[in-house]
Amino acid sequence: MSAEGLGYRIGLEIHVQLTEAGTKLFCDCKSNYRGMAPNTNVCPVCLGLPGALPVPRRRPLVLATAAALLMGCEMPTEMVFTRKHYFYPDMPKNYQITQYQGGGGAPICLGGRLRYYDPDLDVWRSVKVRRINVEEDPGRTEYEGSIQSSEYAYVDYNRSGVPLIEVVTEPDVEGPREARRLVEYLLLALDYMGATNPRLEGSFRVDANVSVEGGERVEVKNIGSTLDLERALRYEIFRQSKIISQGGKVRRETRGWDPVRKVTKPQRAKEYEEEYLYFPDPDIPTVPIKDLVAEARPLLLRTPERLMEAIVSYGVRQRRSWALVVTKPAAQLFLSSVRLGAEPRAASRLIAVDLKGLIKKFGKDPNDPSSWPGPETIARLTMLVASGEYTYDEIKYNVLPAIANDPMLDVKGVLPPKANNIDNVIDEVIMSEVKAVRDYLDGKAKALDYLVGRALRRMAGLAVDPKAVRTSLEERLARLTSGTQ
Amino acid sequence: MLLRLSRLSFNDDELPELCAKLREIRQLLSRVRKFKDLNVRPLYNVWDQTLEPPDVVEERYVKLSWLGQGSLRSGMVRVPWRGE
Amino acid sequence: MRPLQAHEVINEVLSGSMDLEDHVLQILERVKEKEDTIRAFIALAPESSIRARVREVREWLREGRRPRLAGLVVAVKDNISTSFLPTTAGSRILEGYVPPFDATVVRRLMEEGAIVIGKTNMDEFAMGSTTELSAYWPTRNPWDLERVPGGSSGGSAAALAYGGADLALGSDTGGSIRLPAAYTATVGLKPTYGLVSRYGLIPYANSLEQIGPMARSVRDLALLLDVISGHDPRDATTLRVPPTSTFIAKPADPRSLRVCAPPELLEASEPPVKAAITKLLGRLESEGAAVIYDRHLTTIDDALAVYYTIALAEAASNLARYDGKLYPFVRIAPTYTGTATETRSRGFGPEVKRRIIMGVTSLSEGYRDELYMAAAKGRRVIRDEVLAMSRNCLIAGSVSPVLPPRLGERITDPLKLYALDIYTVIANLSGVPSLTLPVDFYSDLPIGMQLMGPPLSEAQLISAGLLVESLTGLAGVAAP
Ligand SMILES: [Zn+2]
Repeated sequence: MSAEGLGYRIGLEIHVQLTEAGTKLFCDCKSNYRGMAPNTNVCPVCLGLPGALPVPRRRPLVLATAAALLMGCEMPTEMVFTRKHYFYPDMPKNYQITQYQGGGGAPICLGGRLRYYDPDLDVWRSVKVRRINVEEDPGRTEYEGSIQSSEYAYVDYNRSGVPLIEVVTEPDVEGPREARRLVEYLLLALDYMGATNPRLEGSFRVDANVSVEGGERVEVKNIGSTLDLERALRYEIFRQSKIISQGGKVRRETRGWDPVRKVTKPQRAKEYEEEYLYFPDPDIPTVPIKDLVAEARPLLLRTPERLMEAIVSYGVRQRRSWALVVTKPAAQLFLSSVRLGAEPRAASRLIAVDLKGLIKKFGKDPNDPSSWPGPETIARLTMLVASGEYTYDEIKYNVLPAIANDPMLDVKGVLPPKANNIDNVIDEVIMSEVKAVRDYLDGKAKALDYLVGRALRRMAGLAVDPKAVRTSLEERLARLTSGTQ
Repeated sequence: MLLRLSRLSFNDDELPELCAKLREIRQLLSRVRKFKDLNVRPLYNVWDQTLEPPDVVEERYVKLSWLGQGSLRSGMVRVPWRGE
Repeated sequence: MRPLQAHEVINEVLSGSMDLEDHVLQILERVKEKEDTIRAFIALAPESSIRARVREVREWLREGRRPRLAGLVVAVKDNISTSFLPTTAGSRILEGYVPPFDATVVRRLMEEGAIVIGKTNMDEFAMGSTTELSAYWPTRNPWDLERVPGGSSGGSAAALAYGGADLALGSDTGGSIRLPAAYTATVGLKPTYGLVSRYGLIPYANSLEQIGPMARSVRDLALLLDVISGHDPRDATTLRVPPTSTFIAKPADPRSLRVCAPPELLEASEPPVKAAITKLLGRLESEGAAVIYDRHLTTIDDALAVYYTIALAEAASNLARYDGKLYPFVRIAPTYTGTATETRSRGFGPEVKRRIIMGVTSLSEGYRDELYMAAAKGRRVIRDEVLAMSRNCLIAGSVSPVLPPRLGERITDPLKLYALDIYTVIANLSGVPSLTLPVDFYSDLPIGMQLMGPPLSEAQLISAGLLVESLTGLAGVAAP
């Protein structure tokens, strides 16, 4: 429901590059072209030179099959590749090899369902998938100034032929937030299956179809992040609802998302309907799916859903298990530390909340396994808490920062001796900081912070739980007041 | 429309001949209409063969050696554009 | 005139009784003498690079290698990619394009010590049956300079016919090897679809065409076929078969030969053509072969329409890439669409443009079902009929309904041009191999016959061809 209260429908077309396939879809050039000089990841096939012939490579097809299995797709017995024609500078052959239902074609998936987790409400949702097709990415184009006015297009074909899957949903996505969560889940699942690295620049783009009750369908193209997807949908629902509630008409059109100004803008309307002249590519025999399915199945053992189930089975709450799973190395670390005897709940909090927070705070990449300590470290820390030797917060404040800073540190070296004499220290502080104590008693709450600080300084080098210090101080001061009056 | 889809243009004086010849060719091709409703599978690949996709084929990188420097700029292929 | 056949040359070169440089230079002389009038080549390799290549192959021989084509001069049709010579497919739009890779067949030639002498003229993108539709110039028939050599591999056939090469490569989409062979008294084979790699062949109609060997005798043709055939991982439509070994084939025993001569492949031919083929079939019968005249190919009436519908659809798609962005030929306009349109309008010849527009029509929303899809269904009907017949007998027939046409006679009317392919397209539609070889001359004009067999029956066709050659005595014949 939008602000104006009109109903709406959202459907998504999600294009994901299979960056981890190794090869392009029809040649041996690299599926991940990042960091390469322009036009150096190209061969006769992906440049579409006449006479070079596309031969489907196995890995991209296995990964696409895994995606279809993930979504429980109805699959044909044979995959067919179809030529789709349109003239564009980034298309070497002026046709794209894709999959198409009809005209003798058959996409890899003809209807399925994607289950995804909504961490905001801690529920599982699902969306109907209309189809999935495997296709080649075009080249990458740069313009001078705006796309509209640039005198030339400058094309780098390094991306040309990179395998893409296009996932098309039915228009029954509940809302902008859900759309974002859906795409995030899909990307994570493909990441776990080893199909894509969604953190790579340009590894996915989304086209969203939005229609508000009383208006026609508007397509918003080229949304490059999940956050932008949510924003673009909110913006578009608001914009269309406003027009309709003011008695205007929303016509069928294509708009583009401007990530800088955070608005959708009309794209120049085509003066005519394109004809794509679909027909099965005569260079590519059909590909039986059976063997691909057998090869793809093992990849499904590692979906986020499966992993969350495994983590929840240790008594970790579902939402916390999601927080582990969204960061691949974190989930791995959790599972291996539990296997080493770590207390699961403490371990999950330690990894998914505190350590992850510190790693980010120190500007390190939580998706890089080397940002994390080994499982034995986690196991040891949770055991210290479980045995009552240290409180969780003592570990959190005294040990985790050092580990986040240097994951290779030996815990033993970082573990400070226990400060057993908090009360003595507090007495000393109260006696030596007379002015601050008076300020506090006069109602200056800030003075307490100062006193806590002084106490911590006196205990430097020891394992101290700052919260415990604070509580003790408050109690002692409270007794002090009652005693003087 | 067909000319636009084909990205071809003709002078006015070429058009009548073009149309006449296309009409003749179309007449020949139209004979295939008789197969339209026939209950047989279309044959796209003469042996109906299938493919077991290989992992690699040893396709080699190439440089854009056949293109003049005029159509390249810092390695990128330069294509006239102006928005369409 | 009877120059040495390729297999004779190779014997002498390998045995050391002939120096391959002498042989190559002799052919270069012949080319210099004839090219001014015939114009079979679009591009000739510079003499210096030919000499360098000769030295290289000679070195191989000194090392004791015995490459199967050592020192043989091969002419390559200009739609077959060569990294060392421009490859234009007879079109302006590819002027100046030197591919960065070799076609698989070219690689295989080079590995066997062949000397590629040049790229031969052809109808633009192989769209034509006379070689008059080359964007560069028409090639003349060495047997009669007023006549066409056939097309689209007319340059390759003409070069062979005047002795400008030992062997040649052509491509056959709907008769493009066989028509020129028939018009020049040379031998040509359209192989089983998938026997020879198309990797590097500039595509016209992918599902129909094959690269094939051309030569002046059946034995020579077999030599070349053995080198170029066999599975290629770079072409997913090649069959998983090893290279053929047809060079060692023996002439067929006529008493175990069964030939069907369906009237549909003969009756409508010009009287001299029909008479020459009938006479040859009669001779085969008298040698003991069974010739069956009352088997019918009923689908042939529709073959031409089915063939052209499919070919033009695929062609329109294949030719979309030539828009000025990745090839040297470009006519710059301010916009991309303008540049593409201008480049294509100037770069393609009129027949190519017509075929593109027709192809786009048959794939368009409004016509796809009744044209392209209907033709694909018709293709199955035709294929099945041909396959059924080929299981019982070799199929013999005319190659062309007429003697070699005069220059200009056929190209003004597209339908008259297309009609030249009436007998040849069925082999392409049904994927079966078809061998063309000379059977006779009629007032100095060559007449050819084609023999079709079941899929992968190349060895059988070559055996039958050797038998026919022994009856005609035309092996190795060349124009004066
Ligand atoms: Zn490539």
